[in-house]
Amino acid sequence: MKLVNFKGIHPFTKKLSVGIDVTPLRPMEFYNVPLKVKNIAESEPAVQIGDEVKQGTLIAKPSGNFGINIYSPVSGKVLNIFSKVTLSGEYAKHILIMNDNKNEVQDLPEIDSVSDVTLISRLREAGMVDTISGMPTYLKYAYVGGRAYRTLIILMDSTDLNSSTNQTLAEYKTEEVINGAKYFMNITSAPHIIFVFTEANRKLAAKVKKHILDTKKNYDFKIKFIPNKYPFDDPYILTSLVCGKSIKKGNSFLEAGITIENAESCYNFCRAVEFNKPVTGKIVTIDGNNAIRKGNYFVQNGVSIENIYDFIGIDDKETSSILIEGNVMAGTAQYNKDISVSLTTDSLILQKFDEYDAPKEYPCISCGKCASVCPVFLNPKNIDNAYLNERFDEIPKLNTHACIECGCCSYVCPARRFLTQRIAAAKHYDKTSRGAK
Amino acid sequence: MERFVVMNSPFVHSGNDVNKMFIYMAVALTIPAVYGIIFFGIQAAFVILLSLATCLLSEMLFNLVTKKKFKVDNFSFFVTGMILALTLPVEVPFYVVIGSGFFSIFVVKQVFGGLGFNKFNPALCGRCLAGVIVPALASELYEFTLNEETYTSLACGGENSITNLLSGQAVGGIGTTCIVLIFVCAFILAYTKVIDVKIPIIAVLSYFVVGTISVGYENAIMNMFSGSFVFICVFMLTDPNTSPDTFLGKILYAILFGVLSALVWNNGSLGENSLFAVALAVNIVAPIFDKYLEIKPVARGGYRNAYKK
Repeated sequence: MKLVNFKGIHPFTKKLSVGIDVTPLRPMEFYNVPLKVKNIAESEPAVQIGDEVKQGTLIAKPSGNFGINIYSPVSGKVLNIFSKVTLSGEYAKHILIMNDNKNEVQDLPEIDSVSDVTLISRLREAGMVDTISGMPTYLKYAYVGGRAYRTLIILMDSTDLNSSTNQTLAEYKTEEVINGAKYFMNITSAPHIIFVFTEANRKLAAKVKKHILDTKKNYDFKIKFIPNKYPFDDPYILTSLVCGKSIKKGNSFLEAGITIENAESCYNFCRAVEFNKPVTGKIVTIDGNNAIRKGNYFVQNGVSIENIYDFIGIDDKETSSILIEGNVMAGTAQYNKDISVSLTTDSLILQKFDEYDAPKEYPCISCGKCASVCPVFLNPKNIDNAYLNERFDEIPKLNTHACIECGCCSYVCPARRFLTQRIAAAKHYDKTSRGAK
Repeated sequence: MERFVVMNSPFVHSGNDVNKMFIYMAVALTIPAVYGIIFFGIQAAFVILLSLATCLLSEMLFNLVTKKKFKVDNFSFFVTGMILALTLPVEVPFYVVIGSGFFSIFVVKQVFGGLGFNKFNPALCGRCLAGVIVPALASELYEFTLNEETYTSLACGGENSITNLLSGQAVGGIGTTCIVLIFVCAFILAYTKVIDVKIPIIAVLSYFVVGTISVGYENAIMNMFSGSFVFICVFMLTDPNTSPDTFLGKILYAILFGVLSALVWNNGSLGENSLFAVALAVNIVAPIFDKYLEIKPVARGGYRNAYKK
């Protein structure tokens, strides 16, 4: 009997964005390209106001070691370089580009061989970022030596309640995803690729397997399944499920020799290697009961949320709604639509406000439901209690830093306590106070 | 005019609700109460109403003393008063009901910090006070519970007695006699996810195993259905606040109660009060289970086998 069967939560709704191929958005008039992705260092603009750029022209370079190359999503003219709010709520430089509708394309230079050195430099050149953390992908392999990784896990599915980008790519862009996975395998010293699916998508797994067996030779791969429960695609839980290894948080995955990529990274990598295309956008799942045309869309970097919803259509414009970036369990609510989509936006959800009654806190009745769903075996109620009563010495003893902020505890809490937020605050306090000492 | 609401995640909720839980519990408790009133007569209704009124008034009194605003936004007083009344026999003196009701709400629940902070189940403490702390009353109740002719005839066995016990044709507390109705309540509460159904099932099973070893399975079943054991398992042991949070803790807690009560109830001669005392003793152990059976978090490198296939 696996203890894991009692943890996490089952997705309560069917994903409505599944079953349609990735659709490109129509060309917009203006693109506001943010030069900062999540917490990673801001890039420096490489163009000046008034420059003409093509689609795929380098417009920003990393200023330090941790930045990324950013490419123009469209051919046009640079109108302005200015500071604006990003999705994560910080101010960062944006480059405003006006579309001239000439559709001129500039590609990356071709690579001559597919050795690991050229592949890693291609990762860096193409400006690929990890779609969860926003970290440049090449950093994982270049600075530590890709050969240190003995296990390569490709996530072909997600247990998120809304996002279905990986699943859609695996279904409709199978060839590219499989080739990209092979290039990742060339970088690492992994003997085979592990494709991970959820148990709900066994048909898709069979399809992918058949495709590989029909078209490829000498392709070593394995297919593994994880339960279809949120949040089992979290890297820490995923490694525990797939490899049977438990990684201490704070220690790198490098020590365990495990690297995790998803279908979208594979797809981007394949396009960068075979078609010399840099990363100029992100595949975003549009969902929510107030959006009309739900699905997966290829959104160019710098398209504002307002433009997306003009294209998708809003069901009821009269009622107030919640605009969520990320999933419904752990995403952030945005307060306006004039924000550009960045390279880490996984899904955008427009949810009617009526269906959600604003929470009111009741005293904890110690029912233990939070502890029964916590996927990392914490007891959220105790941390909440310790933080509220200012017993800060207890916080490290309760392993607060192991929390992955998935939101399951708040989801099940009958007293509607703000457990996720308070544990995050306790975690932050723990981190900063330790640093001070 | 479009408006965006900013709030904290998660933006969906499971629909679990404290108020709903108390309302479901109150509805489930009215089923044995109605049966008790029909079977024992109008005096049972008097006991139940007295207990409810005492609980409400003592909660109001506490808020008056501590200068807090009183608001009935949950039915916890109703649940406590109801459970307390249903475990008492019909012919209980009125001052016992008032005293134990006051004790359970004012002292056991509110003095320790109110809902969610009490260390013991309030109704259980009130019932123990009624049965144990006042010595004269203890003997009265004891005699009342065990020395009835019908009770002895039922307990000593017979072909029809098991059906009588199941359908509630027996002597005992107002709401504890009809086992079938209590099972119906357990089903309702488990379906609405108010109680953790693991606890009553494991407690009953472990009682049955130990009872079979000590007195044989026929007697074990008879004894199990003749006291308040099933009522305690369903309504008192599953109190979320005083039962363990951890999975293993819950199982051990239920086993402990099943084993101890089987030994005391089958072999001892202390009467029905002993079951409540055992439940109170198990309440004390619950935090210890929680402390030592906690699983180390995954990201701490602790529980390696937790996710192993």
